[in-house]
Amino acid sequence: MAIYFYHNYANWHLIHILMIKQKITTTTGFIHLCIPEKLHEVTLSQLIQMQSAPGLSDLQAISILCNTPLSELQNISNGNDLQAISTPLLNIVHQIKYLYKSDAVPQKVTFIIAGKPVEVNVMKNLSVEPAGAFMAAREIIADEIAKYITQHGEADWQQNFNPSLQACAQILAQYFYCRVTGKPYNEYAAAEFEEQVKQLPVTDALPIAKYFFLSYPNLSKPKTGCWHRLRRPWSSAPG
Amino acid sequence: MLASPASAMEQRAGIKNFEPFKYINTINALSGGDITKWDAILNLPYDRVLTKLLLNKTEATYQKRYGELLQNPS
Repeated sequence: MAIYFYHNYANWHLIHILMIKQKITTTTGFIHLCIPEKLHEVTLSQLIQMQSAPGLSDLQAISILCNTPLSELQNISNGNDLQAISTPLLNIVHQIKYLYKSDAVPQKVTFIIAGKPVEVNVMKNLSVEPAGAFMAAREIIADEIAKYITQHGEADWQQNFNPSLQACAQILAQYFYCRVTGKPYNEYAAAEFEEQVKQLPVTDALPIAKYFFLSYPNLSKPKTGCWHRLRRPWSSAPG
Repeated sequence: MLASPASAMEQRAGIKNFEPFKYINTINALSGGDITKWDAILNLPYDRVLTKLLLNKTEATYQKRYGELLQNPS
C-alpha cells in the first residue's frame, strides 16, 4: 500500500514509501504502526540506531524500524498483535544479514531536500569532486581500513572488510554534498550533510559506500585524461 | 599525499607532529601557507590538485638530484 508519512528525525522530511500500515490497540487507545516490508524501506539511520543499541531487544528493533517510541509499544495490550508485527520485521532482519554482500551499485539516488526529491546520478568510477571532498573521503577510508587491519590483520582484508555504518554515512556525505546541493565545497557543511545521507535507503547507501571503500586505492591515482587533453593541442600544432 | 618517505633527520625533528592535521597539511602547502586560499584549493577539481602534487614531487626529486650532482659532479 502506498502511503505518505513523516519520519521523526532531526529534520522532518516527507517521504514516499511503501509500507504495511497497522492499527494496534494499546492500554491508552491505539497506535498506527508503519512496518517496513522490504529492505529498501529501511534507512541508513535506522540501521545505525539498531547497530548502536547495546543488546537490542525485539521491542527496541520494532521501535526503530517502525519509528515509534518504545514507551508506546510497551502499552500494546494484546501480545498477538506484536507477534503479527514481528513476522515482516524478522524477514527484514534476515535480509540485512546479506546486505553487505550486495555489489549492485544503484545508477541514481534520490535525496529529499526541504521536502522535495532531488535525484542524482551515481557515477560508475565514483571520482570524488572537488579536491576537498576527495581528500576528506580518502582520510575516512584510510582510517576505517587501518582500524579494521589493526583489529583483524591484513590477510585478505578486502574479502572480509565491512566498513562501519557511521563511516559509510560520512563517505557518502562527502561524495554527494556538492552533487545534491549544487553548492561549493565546504568541509563543515559536507560533514553536516551526513544527516541527509542517513535518510537514504540502506539498499542504496551501503552498496555505494562499499564500492567506495574497495575502489579506494584506485581513487588516489591521478587521472590520465588531463595529459590526453594537453597532448591533443600539441600534436595538432603546426610543426 | 604523494609525499616522499620522511628522512631520518625529519623524523628526529618531529615530522610526526603534523599527522593529526591530515590533508590540511597538503592544502596548507599548496596555498603557500595562506589560509585565505584554502577554500579555493578545496574546491578545485581533484585531478588538477593531484597533478600539481605530482609536479611538486617531481620538481623536489629533480632539485635534490641536481644538488647532489653539483656537490659531486663525477
